Amino acid sequence: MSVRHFDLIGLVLLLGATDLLIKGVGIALAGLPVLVVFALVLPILRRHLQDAGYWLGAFLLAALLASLASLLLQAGAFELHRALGPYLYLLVVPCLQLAAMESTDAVDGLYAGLVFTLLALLLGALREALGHASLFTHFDWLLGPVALGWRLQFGADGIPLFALAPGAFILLGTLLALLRHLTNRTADSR
Amino acid sequence: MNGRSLAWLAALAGLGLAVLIATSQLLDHRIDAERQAADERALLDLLPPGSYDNHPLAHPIALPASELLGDPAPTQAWLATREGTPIAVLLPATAKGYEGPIHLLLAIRPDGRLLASKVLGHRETAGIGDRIEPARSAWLQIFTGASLAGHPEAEWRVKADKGEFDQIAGATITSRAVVSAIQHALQYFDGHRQILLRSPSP
Repeated sequence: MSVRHFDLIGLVLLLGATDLLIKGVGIALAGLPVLVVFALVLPILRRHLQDAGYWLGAFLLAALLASLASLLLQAGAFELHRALGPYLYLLVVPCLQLAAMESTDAVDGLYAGLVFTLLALLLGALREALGHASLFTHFDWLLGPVALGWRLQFGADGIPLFALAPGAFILLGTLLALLRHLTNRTADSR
Repeated sequence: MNGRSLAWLAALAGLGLAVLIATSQLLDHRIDAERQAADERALLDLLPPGSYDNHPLAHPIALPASELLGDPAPTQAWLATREGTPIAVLLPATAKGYEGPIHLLLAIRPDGRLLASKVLGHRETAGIGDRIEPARSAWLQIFTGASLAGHPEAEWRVKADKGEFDQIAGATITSRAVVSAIQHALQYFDGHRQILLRSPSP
């Protein structure tokens, strides 16, 4: 299975939720378990529901998991939850992409979750470094006062483009091209 | 969709709802406490730790809507005291930014000087106008210690308008809005000392 199978539309929420590394970490922390649990439960839905019923069930399940993730994040890191805003609920979209695949098992969920996590962390780190010329801003949202002094600042100012959605498009495209290039090469070599 | 599918969907919806309700019941107190702590961190980090010994947020001072504070709705301020003596008033102010309102919080000393200020929320352009954020640049700190007495009216402008304060390069409208919002808030403070500095009756 290659990155090709993980359709791009599910990654759209990364454009909105990765302008700081901590937000990338937050969305990955929520996205990985949501995708894995979704893929674990999905076979049960496949067995008992077809067509419209299957889609409705998949949507219900995805919404339930995203809402649970949202509640847990509120209880654990309220400021991070506030910063992620509506993007957390968009985790439903990559879930429904898993549902659209012919068949899924836990490994598919784990794979999708790991690609999602990798891209969220890479995008978060690159966008914060390039767009804000800093790293580890606001890690206290997740780790408490211990992390207050973690913020690194290099240079006075970043390149605003990368802090904005268009820069995220460019970076996401570049990263996906790179990932594809790498996975294709390993597939070709024997 | 046949009856069996419907039964399955209903079961799924019911189970999901039950899980969600149970979780939110379980976490309700925790989330409320977290929200309160986050709000407190957001508001009170303007004051040096240990400089006050009351719980300012516990006694908000209700303020009617005022042009000077830039907020069309009634708002509230908070008084920080130490051993009963006022040390600062936390006053919200809203500036008309480039993209929308900029919500500021000012800590003003009883003598009318600005102790500290921060941006609570804004929609300014990322990378340009967002340098009003303390996390992005130290620009907002140029107002620390400023007062109406220390700067005559004509100086309460950005340097581009022959005033006293530097503007953020590329974000003159944002800078102008913040300068004038701080000036107006200080004027409001001067006009409402009585209400703002009166210690809340316990």
